[in-house]
Amino acid sequence: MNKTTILPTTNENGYFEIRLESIGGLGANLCGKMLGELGALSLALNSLSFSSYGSEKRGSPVKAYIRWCDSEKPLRVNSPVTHPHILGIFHEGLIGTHPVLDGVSVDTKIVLNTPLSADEAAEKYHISMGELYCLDALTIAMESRSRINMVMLGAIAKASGFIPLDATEQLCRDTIGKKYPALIEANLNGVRLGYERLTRASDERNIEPIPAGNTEHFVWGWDNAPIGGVNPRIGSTVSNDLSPSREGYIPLFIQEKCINCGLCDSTCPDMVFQFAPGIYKDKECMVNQGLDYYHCKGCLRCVEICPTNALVMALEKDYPEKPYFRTNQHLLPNSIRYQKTGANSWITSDSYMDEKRVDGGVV
Amino acid sequence: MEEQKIMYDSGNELAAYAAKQINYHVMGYYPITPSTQIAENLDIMRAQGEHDIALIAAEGEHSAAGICYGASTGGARVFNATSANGLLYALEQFPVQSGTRMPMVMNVACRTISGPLCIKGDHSDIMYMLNTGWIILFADEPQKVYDFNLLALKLAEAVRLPVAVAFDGFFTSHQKRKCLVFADDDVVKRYIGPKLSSDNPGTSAFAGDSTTGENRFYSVLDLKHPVSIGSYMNEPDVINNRYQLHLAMEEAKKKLPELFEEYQTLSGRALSFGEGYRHEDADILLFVLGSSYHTAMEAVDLLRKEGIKAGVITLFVLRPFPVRELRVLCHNAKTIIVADRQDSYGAGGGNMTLEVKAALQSLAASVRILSRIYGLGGKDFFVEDAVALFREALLPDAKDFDYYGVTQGGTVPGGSTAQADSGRAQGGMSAFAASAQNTAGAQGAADSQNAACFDCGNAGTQNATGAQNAACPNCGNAGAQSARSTDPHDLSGMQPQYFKPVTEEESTPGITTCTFDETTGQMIVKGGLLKDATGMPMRIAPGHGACPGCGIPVNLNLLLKGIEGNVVILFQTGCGMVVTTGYPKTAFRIPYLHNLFQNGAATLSGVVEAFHQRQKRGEYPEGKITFLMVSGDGGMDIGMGSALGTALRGHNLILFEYDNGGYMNTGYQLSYSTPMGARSSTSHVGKAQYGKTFFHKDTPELMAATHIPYVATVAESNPTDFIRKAAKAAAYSREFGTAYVKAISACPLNWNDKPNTERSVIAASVDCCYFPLYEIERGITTLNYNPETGNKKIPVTEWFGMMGRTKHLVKEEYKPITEEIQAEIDRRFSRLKARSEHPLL
Repeated sequence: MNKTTILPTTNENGYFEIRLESIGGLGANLCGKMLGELGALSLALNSLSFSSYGSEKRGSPVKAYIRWCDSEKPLRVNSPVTHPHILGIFHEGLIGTHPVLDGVSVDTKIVLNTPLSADEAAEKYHISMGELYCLDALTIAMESRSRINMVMLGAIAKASGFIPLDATEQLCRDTIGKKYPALIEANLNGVRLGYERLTRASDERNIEPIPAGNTEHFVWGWDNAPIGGVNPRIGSTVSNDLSPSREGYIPLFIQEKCINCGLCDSTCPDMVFQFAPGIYKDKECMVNQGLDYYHCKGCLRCVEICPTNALVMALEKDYPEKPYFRTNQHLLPNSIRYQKTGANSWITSDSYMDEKRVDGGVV
Repeated sequence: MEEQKIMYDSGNELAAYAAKQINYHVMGYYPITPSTQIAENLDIMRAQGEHDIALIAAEGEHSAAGICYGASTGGARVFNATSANGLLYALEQFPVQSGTRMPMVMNVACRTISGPLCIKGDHSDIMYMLNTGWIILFADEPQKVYDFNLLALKLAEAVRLPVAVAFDGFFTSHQKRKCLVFADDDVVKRYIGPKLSSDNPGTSAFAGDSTTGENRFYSVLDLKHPVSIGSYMNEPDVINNRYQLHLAMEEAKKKLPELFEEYQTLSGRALSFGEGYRHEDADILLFVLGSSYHTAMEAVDLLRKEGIKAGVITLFVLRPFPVRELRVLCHNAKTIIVADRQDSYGAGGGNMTLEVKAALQSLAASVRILSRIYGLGGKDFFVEDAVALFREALLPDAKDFDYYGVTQGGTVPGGSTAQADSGRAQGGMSAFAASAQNTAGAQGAADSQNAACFDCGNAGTQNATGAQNAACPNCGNAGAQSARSTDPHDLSGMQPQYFKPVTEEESTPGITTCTFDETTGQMIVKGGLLKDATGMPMRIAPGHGACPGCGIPVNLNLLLKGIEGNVVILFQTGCGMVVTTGYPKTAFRIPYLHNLFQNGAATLSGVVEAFHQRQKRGEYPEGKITFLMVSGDGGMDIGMGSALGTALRGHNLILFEYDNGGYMNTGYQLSYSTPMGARSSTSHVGKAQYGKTFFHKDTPELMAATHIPYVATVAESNPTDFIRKAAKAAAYSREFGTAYVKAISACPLNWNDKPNTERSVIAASVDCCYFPLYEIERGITTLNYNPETGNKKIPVTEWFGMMGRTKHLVKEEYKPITEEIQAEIDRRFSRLKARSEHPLL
């Protein structure tokens, strides 16, 4: 049996807590499970772990929670981690769009996946508190042919200051090796590189925290919600901004090549194309006016189908201003406040998802 | 004590592990969140050859419970797992199981009951079990899920009653913890012992073994001692049968302490009817079930530091209800606050409040018992919440009954920008909202009845007109009686509408036209070209939460492009409804209804009848509506009966099935339409199993057998054909009866392929003849696209190779399977061709 690990710090109830913030598809769920297992089996702690109950769909926000305490102490708290000792952020795009930094204190070790240096990231995201560690997990994952979750696992082990690399590697061997022996080396390499390439931001950061929002917003409760959960606000999903679902690519529209055939509109799951009566080749017809990028999830079905290359794949970061960006033409308000979100659904089962993906690695 | 090993597993995983160790004969089940993982984990283990349990994926929970019952009457050891609506769907089976005294074990990962539909954890489902005659054990943590699963079977067979092992959905079912299991499966097998069915060789039929106290079980397979199980029984006998059941419950109460002791000897873990924490000298006690018990302990410690004598108690056995043990647990308490994770609406408390009150009413000292409903729909229970409950109970004037943690609603201060709100206009909103409403109002007045009540909030004078009152009966009351509007469409002026409703005129752009040719008996459809179809207004708004590249909205849009005029839409439970109607938003711009997983067709029949009846009586304007039911292939499994019934009645509606070949909404369990050989989370691939073991369901043929006027299959790869068939289906449904349309629908997540390639994957499914495109119009079959003629036909393995779920089948080792599949596909296609050539077939 392993020697019991002494936790460096605990909260008022005696627990050491970790929260992972991610989007579906990056493998935070598996990473959380592995950290939980690491605590229980390698560190000889009492350990529990669970994920936000909901989705592991590609692109939807996912949280994983890990709670540790001394092996003799019972684990009594089953609620989500609000004040983490370690906060792993798998996707920097979540900062500012989701409250992923909530509950951070001066002692929190934040592990952030970003191509920026730790000091740059601190400034960009106004991270004024906590020990900030950064690494470019995506590049490392591609380089090592592993996945982001393995790189982040190594990084979290390093940032913790007490999780030994060898225990982490052994866990990786046990978890991946059982099913996919061929993938062990790549994933081990990912863990190691994550452990090694972490950089730490200066603790003497002089950064103004973002002031708390003072905007009011409207919620439905028992006193004002239409009875029975009936929803009279038609088409209200339109206020969702699905751009966080994109994985770096957008369809780019080149209108002069467009023959207005409508194939794109027939394959788009997200009602992105804005066709309106117009003139094409001196004839009245439905003309493609552009794309509503608020709702484009970047599936690129349209690029695949376009017969004239009027839609092409482009890197989103190359187009801060997207040409032919047309908001939904049927909206009544001139402008609406969009809420950033991802795909949503109910995947609550990880048995199938815990698989080797077609494009390599393990989710 | 027997040797044990450490595992790091969730409640669901441990339930499955216990079942594997017991090696039940049969598990009849149907996937439902959050209990699904139990069957999934057993399937993983079966694929690896770790047990022999026959895992039967039924077509619904009602049948799953029936399979379990049948197997138990045949002398088998039987296992099941379910939750929420699945439990309720199967409910009528449970009293039969107990009333005819057939032991079995069923896990219930507790979840909220619909509606509105919610998948998260509370205790509203398990309380329906209280009157079924089942023993109910309630595990508070994953370890106890394991322990209770072993003890449950022993108890079930000892008193010949079925046992439910309940635990918190998600909080316990999905939470992983360190726990101990018996290292050797044989220890478990010895502990449980053999089941002594009367048909076992060497077992005398009806006599119990008086020396060991072991029971003998009736078996419907006992040919030497034939028995009739399930008598027709009235007075004076029923009361005696029920009394036997009552006696068995009493027996269980006696038997449980013995079993606890025996299990402790074996495992070292103490089990009991219930327990408390710092309860002995507590003035104030909190009663909670499940995982909240542990959270509340932290609160007790905090309050004790303040000098408040707080304690917490819980029960692990709900049936038989341990009255005596409960009294002991709270013998010193002055106030008990019972926190119920469900409500027995109108009773002044949830079920546990009522039971605790009943159990303690004969105590000499008067105890103040308060009741709070908390944590519904998976609302998290933090230590702070437990503290707050205690503090509330300390107030001398605390209400006897209340809800804890409700939100009144209204304008609240904003925190971070990311907080979920229901979306509202930015800056100058109120002025803008007013103008938006006015514009809409002016247009609405001129529109058809669909739009009549859009603006009732500011259209007091218009409400005087009869037609509009009929369309929206509550309009007249708006603002008249109270400060709060009673108008059901009023958004309190805080939230502007984003869209106008789609009017009949707008949604009749003439993209398709259908005329019925009386001489040929055929519906002639024209139009449907994609370049024109972009002119159909979207009845479903963007911003829905389907995965990138999902086929469902693609198919819905193509279908709706072909349907001119008014549409009322109903969804059965599935990805399609979940991603479109997540509260407080909805993607629908046309009237929408969701009911249950399995009876959408029947529900829409009711809507159609209301429409016809009310039109007939002059209560509803003249005009036409296309009624459309949308279901996944899962809904067409569990809802097959309802769909067939509707078709046989010929109700005027379209049944539209999007077939992505699996229960994707719950994590891809196999459906009857999943391709044979495909990997799913209930048909894993391993050394002992190659994926799904039976052929895909031919639903169009089943529907065709009802002789409805129109049956068609469509695919997005042939979009104009799709749109035209949608138009025909709409025309047939409005004029002649039921139409059924089935689309094959891509699921990039679970097909495990690239979202951008889906149209080619769909095209391949058509070209390999797995999904042939045809229609059956008034009994005459027409093959609309024959890949053989253009030399486009491909082997099915080519399509299989495009998807991660079927990629393994391309390997040489699976050749016998794929040959079988190819042969079946070819056979079905040849029949189709023959039918297409001969109008009588």
